[in-house]
Amino acid sequence: MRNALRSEWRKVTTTKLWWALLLAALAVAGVSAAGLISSYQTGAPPGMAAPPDPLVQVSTQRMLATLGAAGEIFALVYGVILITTEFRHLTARPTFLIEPRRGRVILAKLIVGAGVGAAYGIASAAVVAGVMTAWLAAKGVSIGWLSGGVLATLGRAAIAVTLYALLGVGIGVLVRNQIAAVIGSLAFLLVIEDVFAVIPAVSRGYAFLPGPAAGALVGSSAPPVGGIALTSLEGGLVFLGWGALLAVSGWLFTMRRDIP
Amino acid sequence: METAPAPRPATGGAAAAVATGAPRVVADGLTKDFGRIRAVDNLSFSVEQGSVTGFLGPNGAGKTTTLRMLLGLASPTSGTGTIGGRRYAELSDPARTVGAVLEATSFLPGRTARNHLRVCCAAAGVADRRADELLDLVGLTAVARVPVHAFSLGMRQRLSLATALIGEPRVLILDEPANGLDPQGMAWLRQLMRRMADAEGRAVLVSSHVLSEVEQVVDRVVIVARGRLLYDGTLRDLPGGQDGVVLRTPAAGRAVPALAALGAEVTISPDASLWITGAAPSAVGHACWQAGVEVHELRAVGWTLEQRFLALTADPVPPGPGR
Repeated sequence: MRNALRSEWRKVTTTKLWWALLLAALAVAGVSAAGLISSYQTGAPPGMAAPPDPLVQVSTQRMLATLGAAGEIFALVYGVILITTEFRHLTARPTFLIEPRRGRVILAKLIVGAGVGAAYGIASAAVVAGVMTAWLAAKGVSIGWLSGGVLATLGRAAIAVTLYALLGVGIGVLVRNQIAAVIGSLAFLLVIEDVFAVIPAVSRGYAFLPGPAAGALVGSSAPPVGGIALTSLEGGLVFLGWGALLAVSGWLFTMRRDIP
Repeated sequence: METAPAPRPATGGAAAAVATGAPRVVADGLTKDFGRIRAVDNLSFSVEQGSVTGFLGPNGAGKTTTLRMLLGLASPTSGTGTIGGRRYAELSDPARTVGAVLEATSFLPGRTARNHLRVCCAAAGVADRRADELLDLVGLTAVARVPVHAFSLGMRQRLSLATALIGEPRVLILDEPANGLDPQGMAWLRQLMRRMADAEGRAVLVSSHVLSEVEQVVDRVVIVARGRLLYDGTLRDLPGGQDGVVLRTPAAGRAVPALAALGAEVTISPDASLWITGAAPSAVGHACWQAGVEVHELRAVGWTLEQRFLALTADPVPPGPGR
């Protein structure tokens, strides 16, 4: 198992993709945090009292902190590519010739994928924290890191990003075709889930879909009116369950198939 | 080219062979269906230690599928492939037992040759310096840090081979290794295969669709076509067609009845020469002399290995021997 892990880790560090997707994730997190802060710029009309700055409220600060997960999609894509690239470029052949116990390879990829996801998550949270610190300090607003739960929210955002990478690996185990896996998962998370939210028959269970579950974990999404709401812990577990479900079904249905 | 090279003694250096003790590779009734197409049909053969076995057949004969089943990448519809009595997935240390080069090269384009080998070294639990040794062995040291997408087919073949040798395996399985190799590369590869079999007692199975690529190096051949076993034995014993005599004469009209009188079978070739079977060259010459037929050329023709191979694997009418 140690050998499989070392090999998988080397596969990550000997390519440039992780770096490119990390930059994209950080850019999205940083830009969306800056965008949200600047949207609160309140200019009072002349002669009237300025309204209170929403940034002073810790609830607003926590909402900003949830943006640590804004680049989660890139972690997911990285997870998908981590495994589907083996089939796209046929590196699955040497991989499974050297380690024919396929379950071990999958497990190593899940662990390494989680590691890369954690790096993405921590870096994204740090970028958001940096933007908040600099900007809010300039405005003279103090941040409730501990008392207001801002740090905890950033931590949950980092965990969500980690889990997104895991979900990506799970998708890749099930769907070997790289294009289909990437396009399919993006379409599901960005479009199809939103459709579920507005169909009355199924919207009650909307919170159990992967995207909303991750949102519940971070604290960034609200269920549709009348729907079930998950706590942060429940959301995290449901989201992790999706990753496990995909990985296990992939292991059962796909991994035993012939290697091209 | 007329006759097979003498097969080398199967286990020449007996001491070395025993010391290394390569496991036998055995295909036992291997069968693989892709949908309704039977790609491999009840194929059985074995590869012994200290020998190079050629695995020959035309394109689409099922060679690669057979090798993939032996290597655990594809599961057989029925039958088993074993190495030292175990299926590939059950090998305790696959990288040190079997090294394989599969037809299409499999590398991540952006990864360098050295990093590719280091990834595989880590997976096999082999020290990283092995990557540099192997690059040196296959002559890729100068391009060790170049991404593989810049490699020619021949360079990729060399890198594949280096990958196969990572664990110093006792069994080497090579699928069409000659593809893309230049003549020097091919000569080098032949030497390597011979050395592994003779001096180191390893078992080598090498596939090709071109007999001439491997005929100088193999001890035995396993010939397949349309997924079925056609021949398993030495090249020398490869069955061929009848040997014959080529006769070129301006008086074919008088030669044919004279030769028919000998009981020989005569056909007229497209180039107007006569192809005669069932009579020795001396008998043909004598008959011509008696009939007063002017002879421009008279020569005995045997089947070349290539012709015998083609005749065996042809579908469906075997070609006559060339001139």
